[in-house]
Formats: sequence, structure tokens, C-alpha cells
Amino acid sequence: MSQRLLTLALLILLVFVSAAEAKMPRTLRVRFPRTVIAAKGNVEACVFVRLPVSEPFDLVSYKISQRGFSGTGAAINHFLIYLYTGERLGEFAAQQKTVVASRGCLDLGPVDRDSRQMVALARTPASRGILPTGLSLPLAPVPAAPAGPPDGIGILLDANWLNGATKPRAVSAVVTFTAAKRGTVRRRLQPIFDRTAEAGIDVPPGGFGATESLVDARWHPPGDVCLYDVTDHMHKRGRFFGVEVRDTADQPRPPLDGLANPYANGRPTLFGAPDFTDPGSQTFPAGLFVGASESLRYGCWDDNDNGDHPPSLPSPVRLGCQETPGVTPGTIGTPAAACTPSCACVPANLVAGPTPEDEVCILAGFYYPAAGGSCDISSLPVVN
Amino acid sequence: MRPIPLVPFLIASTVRLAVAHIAPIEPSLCAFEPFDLRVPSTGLVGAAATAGPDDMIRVVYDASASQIQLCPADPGDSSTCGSPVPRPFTLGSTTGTIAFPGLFQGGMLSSGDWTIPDVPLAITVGGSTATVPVTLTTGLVTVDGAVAEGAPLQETASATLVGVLDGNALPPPLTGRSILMTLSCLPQPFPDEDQFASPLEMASIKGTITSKQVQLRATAAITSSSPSPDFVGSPVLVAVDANGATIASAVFSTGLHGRKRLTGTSDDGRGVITVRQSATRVVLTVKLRNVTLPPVASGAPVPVAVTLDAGGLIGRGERPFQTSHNGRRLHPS
Repeated sequence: MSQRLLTLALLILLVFVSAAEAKMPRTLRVRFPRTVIAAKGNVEACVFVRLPVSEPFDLVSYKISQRGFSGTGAAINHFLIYLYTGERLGEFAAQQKTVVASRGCLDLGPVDRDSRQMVALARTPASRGILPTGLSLPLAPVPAAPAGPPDGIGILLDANWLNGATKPRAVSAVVTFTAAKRGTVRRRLQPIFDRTAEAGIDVPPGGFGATESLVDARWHPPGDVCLYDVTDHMHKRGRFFGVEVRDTADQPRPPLDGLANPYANGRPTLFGAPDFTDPGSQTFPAGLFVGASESLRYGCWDDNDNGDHPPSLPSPVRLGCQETPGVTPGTIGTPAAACTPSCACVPANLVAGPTPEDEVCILAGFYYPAAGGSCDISSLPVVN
Repeated sequence: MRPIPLVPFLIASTVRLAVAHIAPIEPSLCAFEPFDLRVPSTGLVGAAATAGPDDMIRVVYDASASQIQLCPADPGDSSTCGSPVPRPFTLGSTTGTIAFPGLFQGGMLSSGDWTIPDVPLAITVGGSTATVPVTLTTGLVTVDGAVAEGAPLQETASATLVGVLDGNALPPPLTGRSILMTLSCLPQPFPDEDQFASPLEMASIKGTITSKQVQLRATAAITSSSPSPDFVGSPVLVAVDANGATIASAVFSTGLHGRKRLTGTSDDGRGVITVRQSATRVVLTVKLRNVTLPPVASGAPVPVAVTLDAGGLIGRGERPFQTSHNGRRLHPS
């Protein structure tokens, strides 16, 4: 008995989850460890957690409780939860429990750290989210190393907390995921994760570029589908992400009530995002029907200039090691190497790559197969 | 029990535009002025010529990475970078020019501390030009065994950067004599510092200071945004100030040694430092026997500041002390 208790205690201590490996539990708990925010601080803190399960978790609701914010002067900008979808859970898990300060949570994890899907968000100390009846979001386990068997579910917690007080404040958070009851799921959400626009990121020093000038980036649905949620992922030189639904005649069609694109003459969008640290998303609780012959067209607008490009303010240009005299480093597929004291550190081309200094342009989100031309799934048979 | 608001899964559909979480910071301009040069080994002093309109530096901020990027501002359009303009200097009887590169970058902390590593300066004397890398910092540098201090950027006070030009890399006739550079910059408009990473903030400073020894203990909380100090793999410098003047300092060139309890003896053998570090705090104990304590009136308040530079991470702390009745000892007030 005492050995089992010890085993259980160790498991909780090591992975911060109340999950048993043998049988998929109905709930999973993930903790953001107590951390201190400096006085007047504005920090984005990140924690990775590995949940040691080998089967997908059919998520239907979540609860996020953030502590240390009542009457303390501390405030919440965002609390995002990402599902890691890469293949290097072992590398990521080596950093678990460790709180890493990083804007956009780009400074931790393995080389495929950008493979992640936002699955939940909170802006208040206590919040709950529930999927529409009949839907679930599978949290799929991923391998510890490429081509390996499923090893566990990877969860990345991304908290942007502020402290308006003149003294440091300690804060923490607990997330509870709840799985679907048997016989309640009619459709499982499928991920959208498209990176074709990244072939269009090629911005010279002093430049500002749109991926659509080089690549017509699209996500084509596998059939008639219902869009449930759409979001994006960029790095720090991404100034805007925009996506629209293109109809069968390849024309933008409603809804187009996302943020207008300030870098393309106010072009309307289905969803537009200017902030790489908190992309936000557009959710369609009843589903947005997208026909098999339609598409989602998207792109990013990237800044590699430390001059003015209103409405954004200047930010540092990408620097890199010059390999060949007179040649600006960094080409599509081969980002410039990071500067070292032994190389000539020069302004570099901004291209897609894995480091926070490189860029990404990812269309992300979730959809589910339509039910005979409709997004109403209430009459479909259950699948769990 | 408070009800928990229920929102549609993921982000509420009403939240379409995420609030900008990093407030953009306007680029600034500043001139490195004054710009002093000193050869500590000989006492030779000099300075760069007074900054002119071509000598403005443009500073662009990246709070997301706690970075700054600097370039010579284009005199015709200060919103862009221009070409480097060599700036004349004199050092004793030697004249020459010194030029910053077209673009260089470093780190910034919410304390207003800057560290700009390996800036390749072009030093020209006579017909010879040498490119000399120099790390500029508002923290501490060591030159010829002594410690020199910079000062962080404050709302009303310039950042004072210090750096050492390695004498072996300098062109003749300066070769062989390391030069301490001290240059100030007050960026306008003043940047919002709060969004940058936190320094190591030393609090609970206790101990005593006499004319023979400084013995202090300080505790620093490691916050979620403070980078981890590296006490082992790189040099550690410590300086103690009283009334704004350095009264004791030490250089630990090989860093500290040990496991949970790190210790080190200063290069001159007259200082000892001990560090105990956990996930949430650092406890620092220093004993320095090389003290220059100026006369202070009995009972007078004396602000005492401790500065630590460990692997480029700067830690700071300050506490009011006061003198004993005989004026020979300082203790926390």
C-alpha cells in the first residue's frame, strides 16, 4: 500500500498530473508552478508538461484557475494552452517543470517547437470552456523521438502576467481537462495546420514583405467540412496574419468580419491577428460550412526593417553570420546562422526557420467533417 | 462560491482581436556624450570630440527578446540608419578616429542596464586601422586588475557604458596599453523599461563596512523574467559603492566553484564570495578586504549599493546605511 502511495506521489511530483498510465482517466490536471513576477513586471512565462498517456484524450471541457490575482495588483493578459504536435516529446519533457520567460513561448522546446495547436485560453482568474454538444477535441499523444511510438501528451502553458504592484507577487495556475462521457461524441475535431506560406517568407534587410507575393498559400478541406476554430502562429517579426474563405469562384466570401489588414489597404479577413504572442482565434460554435471546392487562403506580413512601417513601430532587423563576403546571409530553407564573436555579424534576410529569430507563418485551427451538407451533427451516430 | 464564467471552447468568439501584449516602444536617438578614454596603467586620459549632428545613434527596442539594436542615425532622416561616421579622439598626444559599426545589438533589462557584446570598433591612428571588439556594459568591467562601473539608464540620468579596448589589438602607438572607454547615452524619447527582463534584484542587504573590510550578505529573488545567473562558467565581478563612489571591488576571473554552495577567491586574494542558489533565490555573501572608505560624519546616512556582474547578467541592490558614533563603521540603518 505504502509503495503504491509512494509511486503515485512520485508520479505527481514528476509530471504534475493526476493521471494513471494504465487507464485513461476522466480528468487530467496540469499545474503551472508557483512563480514570482517582479514589481511592475510584464512577463510571458512558459511551462511544458508531459502527460504520460498512450491514447488520445477526448477533451470536451476545461477549467483554468489562476491564483494570486485577487487584490494583489497582479493581472492576467492571457493564459494560453497549446497541444504539442511535434515528434520530440522527450526533448521537450526534459525542460518540464521549468518556468521559462519567453515572448510567444518560442525559447523552449525542441527544434519542432512550432508544431503546436492552441486548445484553450483564459483571461480571467477562473474560467471554463465547453465544446458544443457532440464534439470533442482529441489530445493526441506524440512520440518521444521521431518515428517512435506515442509516448505522452505534451501541453505547453503560456501565461502573460502583469504585476502593477511595487512588490514582487507569486502566482500559479491549475488546469483541469475533462474527457467526454461514453456515448456522447458524434464528431472529433480534426486539426488544421498548414505551413505552405512559409515558402513565401523572404524579406531582405530593410524590407517588409507579404508571403502572398511569392506563394498562394491555401488550405483545401478534404471534403465538405465545418470550420470550428481558426488561428495562426507567427514569430516576432510577423506583423499580421490574415485568412479568408475563398468560394468556388476563388473570391473572398463572408464572413469577413475579422480584423482588417492594415498592411493591405484594410482588406477584410475571416480572421486577422497582429500579435505573435497572443494570436487570439475565431471560433464558430455552430460550425462554418466550407465546401470541398472552397479553400482557406492565408498569408503573413513580415517586417525585417528597423525603419517605420505604420502602424507597427520599428523593431530590430534580423542579424546573421556572413558566410560569403558581399552576400546577405539567409535564403529560403537555409536561415542565417546566429552571430558569434568569430563571424561578421551583418543584417540578414528574414526567412522561415525554427529559431525565434526566424519567422513562421502557420494557419492553425480545427474542423470537423460536415454532416450531409450541414454542420448540424445532432442526428449523427455516436463514435465513442 | 463565485460562479465561473462559461465561455465557448477555445477563445470566446467575441474576442477576435487579441490585445497587444507588448506595448510598442518608439525608437530613440542619443549621442555618446561624454565619450572618455583612459589608460589605467599610465593614467593617460583623453576623449572623443564633442558629438555633432552626424554622431547620433538610433536605438530600436525589442522588448519581446529584451534586446536593443543600435546604428548610426542617418543625419538626413533620423528614422533610418546611416553610414558609420568616424569620430575623432585624442588620448594624450595621440590622435585618431573611432567608428562604430553600421549596426550592432545587445541586451536590455528592466533596470535600464545594457550589455552590448563584441562591438567591432574601427580604431584608426595614423595610417593604421584595427578592428577591436569591445563589450559595452552598464555593469562592471575589469581593466588591469581593477573594476570599472557603468550606470543603468534612468528616467533622468544617462546610461553610462564602460568597455575595455584590449591593448594587444590596438594599432601603434597605442599597442599594448588597454584603454577604458566610458560613454554616456540618454535616449530620447525615453523607452518603457518595464517590459524587459528583470535584473537580479538584491534585497535584504545586511552586514558591516569598515575601513578594513566589507562584509555583506544580500538575497535576490529569481523572478519568472530574470535570466539565470552563471556563476560558474564565466568571470564574476563585484563592486560596493557608498555615497555613489566605489569603495571596494573584486574580480573572480575563473568564476565560482562548488556545487550547491559556490565559492570563489578574488584574483588579488583579498576577496571571498559565496553563493547559495535555489530555484527561487540567490543568497550572496561577500568579504572584501580592499576598502577605500572616505570619511563620513558620525551618524550620517550613507546609501550603499552592491553591483554584481556574472556572465553578463547584472544584479543590483541598494540600502541606506549609517555611520557608527566614531565614524569608522557603516551598518544598516
